[in-house]
Amino acid sequence: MNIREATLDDMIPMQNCNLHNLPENYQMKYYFYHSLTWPQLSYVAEDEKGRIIGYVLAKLEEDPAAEPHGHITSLSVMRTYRRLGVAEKLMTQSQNAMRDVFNCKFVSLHVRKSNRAALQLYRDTLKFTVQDIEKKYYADGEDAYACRKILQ
Amino acid sequence: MASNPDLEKKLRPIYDAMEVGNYKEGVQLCNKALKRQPDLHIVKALKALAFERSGKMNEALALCEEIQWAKPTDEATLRTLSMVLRSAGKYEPMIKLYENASKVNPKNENLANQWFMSLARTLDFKGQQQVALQLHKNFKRDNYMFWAIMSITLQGQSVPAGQPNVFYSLAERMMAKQNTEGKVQTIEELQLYLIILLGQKDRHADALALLEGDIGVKTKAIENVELRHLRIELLIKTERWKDAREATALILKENSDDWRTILQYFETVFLPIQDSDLKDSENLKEARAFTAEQVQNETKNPKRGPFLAQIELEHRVQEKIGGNKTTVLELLVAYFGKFGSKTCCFEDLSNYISKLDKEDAKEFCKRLRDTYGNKSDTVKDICMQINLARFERFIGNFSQLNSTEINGLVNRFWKLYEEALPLGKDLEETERQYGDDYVIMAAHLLIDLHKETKSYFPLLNATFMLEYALSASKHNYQMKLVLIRIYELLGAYNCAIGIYNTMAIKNVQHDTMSHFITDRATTFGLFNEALTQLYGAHEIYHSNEAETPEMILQAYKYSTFSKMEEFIEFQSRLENSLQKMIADREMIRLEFLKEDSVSRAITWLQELELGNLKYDDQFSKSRIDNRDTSVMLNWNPQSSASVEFLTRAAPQPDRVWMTLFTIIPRILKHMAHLTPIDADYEKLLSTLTNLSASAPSSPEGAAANELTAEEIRLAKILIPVTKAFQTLYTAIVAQNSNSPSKEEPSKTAAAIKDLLTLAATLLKREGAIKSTGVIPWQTFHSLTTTVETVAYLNVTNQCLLNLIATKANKKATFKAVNAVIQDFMAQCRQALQAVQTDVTALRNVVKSDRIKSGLLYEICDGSAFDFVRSPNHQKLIEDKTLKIGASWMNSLVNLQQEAIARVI
Repeated sequence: MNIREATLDDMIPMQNCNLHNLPENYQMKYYFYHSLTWPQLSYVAEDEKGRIIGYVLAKLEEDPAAEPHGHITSLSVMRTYRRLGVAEKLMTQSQNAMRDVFNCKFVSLHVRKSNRAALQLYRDTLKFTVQDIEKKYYADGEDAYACRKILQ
Repeated sequence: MASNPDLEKKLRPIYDAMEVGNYKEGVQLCNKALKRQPDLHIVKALKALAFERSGKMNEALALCEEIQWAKPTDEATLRTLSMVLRSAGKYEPMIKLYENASKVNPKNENLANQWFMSLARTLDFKGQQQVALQLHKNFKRDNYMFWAIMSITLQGQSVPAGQPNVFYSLAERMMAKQNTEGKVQTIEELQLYLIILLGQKDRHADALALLEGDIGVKTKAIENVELRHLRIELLIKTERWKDAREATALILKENSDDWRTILQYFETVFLPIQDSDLKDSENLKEARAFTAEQVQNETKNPKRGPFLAQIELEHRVQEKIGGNKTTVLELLVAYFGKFGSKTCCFEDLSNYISKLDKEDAKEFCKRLRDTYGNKSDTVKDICMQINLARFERFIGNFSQLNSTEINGLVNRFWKLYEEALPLGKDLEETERQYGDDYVIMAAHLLIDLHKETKSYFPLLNATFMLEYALSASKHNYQMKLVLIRIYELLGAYNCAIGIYNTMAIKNVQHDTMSHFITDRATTFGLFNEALTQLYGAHEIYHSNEAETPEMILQAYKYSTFSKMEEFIEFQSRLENSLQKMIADREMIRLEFLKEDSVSRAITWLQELELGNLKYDDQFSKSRIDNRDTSVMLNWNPQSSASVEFLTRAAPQPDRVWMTLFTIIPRILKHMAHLTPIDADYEKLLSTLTNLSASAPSSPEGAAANELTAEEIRLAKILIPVTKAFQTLYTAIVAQNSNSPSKEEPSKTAAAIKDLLTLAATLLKREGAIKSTGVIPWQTFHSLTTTVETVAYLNVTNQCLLNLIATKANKKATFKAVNAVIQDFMAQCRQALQAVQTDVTALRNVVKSDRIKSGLLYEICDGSAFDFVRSPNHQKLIEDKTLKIGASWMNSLVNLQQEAIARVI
């Protein structure tokens, strides 16, 4: 497995990786914006044949009032490649860049309240802590757990 | 917002109305303001914007043109104008306007910036270069110099490789100067420097020196994943083997899973020595020791990387110098023992398995079966069993089976699927059941059986099982893709659309995936449904046009030079997409067919724009195929076709198909205008002739690979008809001018009669439609293509009649021709009547009570499938069969209406 920086050309296979995995309906320009503004923060994982099997899309939170911190917009790993530490590697790569390139103090993310598997991954494996519940965070009205992790 | 407080007061209510989306009020407020001050550009521009936002593009553009004439120079007006023009895809006018404004206000940096950006939107790299240099001269910011260098570099990319590249040399000189002055400071600037160096021949050493030098250190290049890999690549290219091996080993000790580095490590092992020296080399010894050590380090929760690296190493040694084959086989078996319960195990090993001898492959599966074949108690066991089944399929153990054997396997897989269900009863709705791939495997076997026996019953059985399993795994897109294909083979378009719509296809997927539902969508006779799918998918191309150029501008703003080429490339991939053109031609077919009266069809053709209807070789070749055909699961042996290929209802449309359906409307349009025969017409005719010449008799012909027999027949019918128009036009011109070359009218009539007789012969459909229980894709294709052909012929016949009526001085001379055309029209009517007879017969078979007593009975009576025999599934089978029947009925009813409307 490889982890490498996401390129625009990855958009096409990334979207197919999303056939199932991404319930949120992101516009094309959203990917573009990430790739353009913080190219060091988004990564793809590919298998031995060079096919995309997962990706992390991340950004810098642009709130001048808060401490500099990163935000994970989307993390996705293809079903066939679950439970192999792919998500962890993607996250580590992105978090390292947040810390080293942008001096981030912490990283945040949102999880659907119903997505128990994802919460488990973030909390138990990736050592995030739940900070808060944001009511009706998602377009369909579902609540979100707001999670964060301190970057050493 | 304007800085003038008076003006601001005037504009505020307009902005307010626009902000809340009240465009009607916006227009009214603008009108009011314009009454007092008719020449206020900003208000006019806002009015144009309000028009644009409320969908009145023509009014908006008319206003824009008015404003353009006045050459406004204030930023607010220009910005507003630019918004309107951009949404209309018009970029050129803003270049002139910003150029003018910035010349009037040479000190205004923002205007000059906008001038640069307006050039960047149209990818005018040379213009960009000039403006960027001017910006740098006037405003002295370093980033403008990098914009200029980037613009020069982009010009260099159109120079063919191998030729001297003055752009790169210039860019390099400018970059070197920036560097000497200490102005190359960010990682993106370093990236730009690297792009320039690596774009030239034999500059690896220079690029490496840059990366390892001061800027590399300053920008922490080595912490960047991509640049770290680039460094290793350059170390390999410059044959610094020791450094390269150390660098790769260092990364691998940190992350043993990094496959890209593993492959680079092997390059440092194999590239420096001849294969003949490999066997006892230090390199090989060291590599074996290193991989063994890496493997040993994996104790708890082992990573796959080191184990795969070992297989890869021995596999390469085996390929290069032969030797002990059992080494690889043993490693593969051991790998399965460790990772056999991971879903990716098949993907990990399939490449190596495919390289094994047949005997070894059989041995591999046998040993897996013997050791692991009996356990299926836990989720891990199930996963392992499924992997084993995938390997069995892959090495050919499930190929060339007779129908009893296939039925047995399908029943076995169904049983295993059912046994796995209880383990997944607590899974979330978004998850898949653990045994889903058993059902997909069963479907693959049933597809084999369909191919073998030509019977559609295996496919029907596959849909029932898939639909059942889908209700327990609502989001399993792999099941959906197989279902879509099978429903299409079964001629049930409504069912296919129903599934496709649940996949929530979006954005770029419209380009890569929509072919599953739009290829030859005309076939099913459901023109509105097909158009809805096509229009929906086309959205992506609009958003590419509107959004991607803006992103290129952002890349300049953020100085993200490393992404510039990617954006430009991405934009081009979508803009020149083959799928876009194939979909466009399908839309043209459908839009033409929606005009069911001849006169409206002729008007439609006259109004059809030729701009996009290109078909020359250059255009065909420069289309880019983004369609994803590898997304469907496939475990078929490499020697046989993939599931994706096997489930195509017809050959995949490609450039030949695109050309055919470009030429048809073009020829018809020519006739509709009664345009004189010119070189263009001759070219269309010869292209059409070439297209249809190569098939179907010669299977290697390009046409046979892309066109169906019906489509080739359509092309062949249109050839004599096109010639008939040519003949008649020429004869009329000769008659009118009383030219010495004019033919006897009877000769003209005879010539046209020959041509139309040929067309009429071809029009007769061969082979009767059988009214059995299933109406497959092929039946609809045959019926719909006939209706489509007659729709074209109705137009061409009318055009022939119009030629005589409007062009011939002595109409009576062409009385015989007229009679010939009337004869041919009668033959067209007969073809439609034959379609109607068939459709009527088919409609009787698919009435819901007939489906119940006929097809459904046949499906269930004495079925060999446990699934079908189970009383629990009777309701589902009946429901789905009736749905398929309803889709057929829907298609038939529409098709009948289309046929009736064209009887003239």
